[in-house]
Amino acid sequence: MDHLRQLNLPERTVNVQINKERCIGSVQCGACLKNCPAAVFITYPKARVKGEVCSEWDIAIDDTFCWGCGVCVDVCPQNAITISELEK
Amino acid sequence: MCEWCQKHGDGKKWYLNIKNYSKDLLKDEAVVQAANTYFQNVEPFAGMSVPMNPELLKLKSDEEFSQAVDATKQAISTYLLQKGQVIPIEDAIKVIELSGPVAQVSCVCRRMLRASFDEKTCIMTGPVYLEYAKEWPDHIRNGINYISKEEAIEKIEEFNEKGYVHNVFRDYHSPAMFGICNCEFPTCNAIRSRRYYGDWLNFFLKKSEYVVMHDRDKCTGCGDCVMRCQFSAITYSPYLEKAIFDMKKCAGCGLCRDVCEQKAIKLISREDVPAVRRLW
Repeated sequence: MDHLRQLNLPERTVNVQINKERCIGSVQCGACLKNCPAAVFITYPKARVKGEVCSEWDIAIDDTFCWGCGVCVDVCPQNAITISELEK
Repeated sequence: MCEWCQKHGDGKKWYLNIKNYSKDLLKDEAVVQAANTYFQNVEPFAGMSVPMNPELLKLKSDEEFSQAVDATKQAISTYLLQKGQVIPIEDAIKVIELSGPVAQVSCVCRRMLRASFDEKTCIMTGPVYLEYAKEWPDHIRNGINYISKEEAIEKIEEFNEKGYVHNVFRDYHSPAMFGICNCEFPTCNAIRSRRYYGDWLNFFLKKSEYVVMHDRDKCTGCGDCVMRCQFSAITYSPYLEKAIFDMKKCAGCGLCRDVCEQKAIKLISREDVPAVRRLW
């Protein structure tokens, strides 16, 4: 089991989801990104073109790093975020 | 000395070697391609956890494990062409004094993890970033802010006081300098991967050439240093009534040293501590 000792991985226990229909977007709102203590939300341009400013940004979630505090649910003005236990 | 210093340092630390700031590096096609791949793809890949986690854990033998680790490193290096090292403030000032034009630009990690598009915390020193960033306006919202060396040093001191770690970043394949980022956990992707994954995934952010040395007799247990550590290396021990330092986690950034009123903390060369000399 030597190889396991080298790893220090966070265990994924929750499932964080954003309702894309309700979400206003990270550029316009971004409340979840600004308030998350573990910074699990990631925003990225939908399509980046050389020489242009991209105005459409999508949000991805990396809930392996989620600490489960629930701040994002509280701060979302659209109530678009849900946290549930990950089903094994 | 880290392997990169041995290869590109000419007997010094690699980031203090003037050759690595040269514009000649822009003639190298691999560098140009790497810079453009970085600007095109950095957000979707830099923030996500290593995709192979579950597979790595399920594997049985050490051989399979090391193969999977190599494959993961390969996969990440295709997209993430930036590689860094922690430096203490005195080295950060030396880097600025060595470099050519210095500019302040907005931080890529804060943009992707905090939707903070305009916070200019990165001080770019090398030619690579400044030459190509112009073509990718997303990366330089509100422009490239050229500043004098004195101003840059003032900024670095300000960031140091605020509690940001200074990381020097370079191109993945070559020693071409990108600049100094001023980072914090968990908003910095580099520090975050360092803390979550430990030493096996260290190619993204190397520890500095230094490590902390704590003088127990001088320590009064005030706890100021505990709050400054971004690598979770310092804990307050109620039993000892002193701060305790995990040398293996210490990245040698020197932030704790700068607030210690008793001068109980100093940085020594990593080479001199047998327990951590090979831990990068």
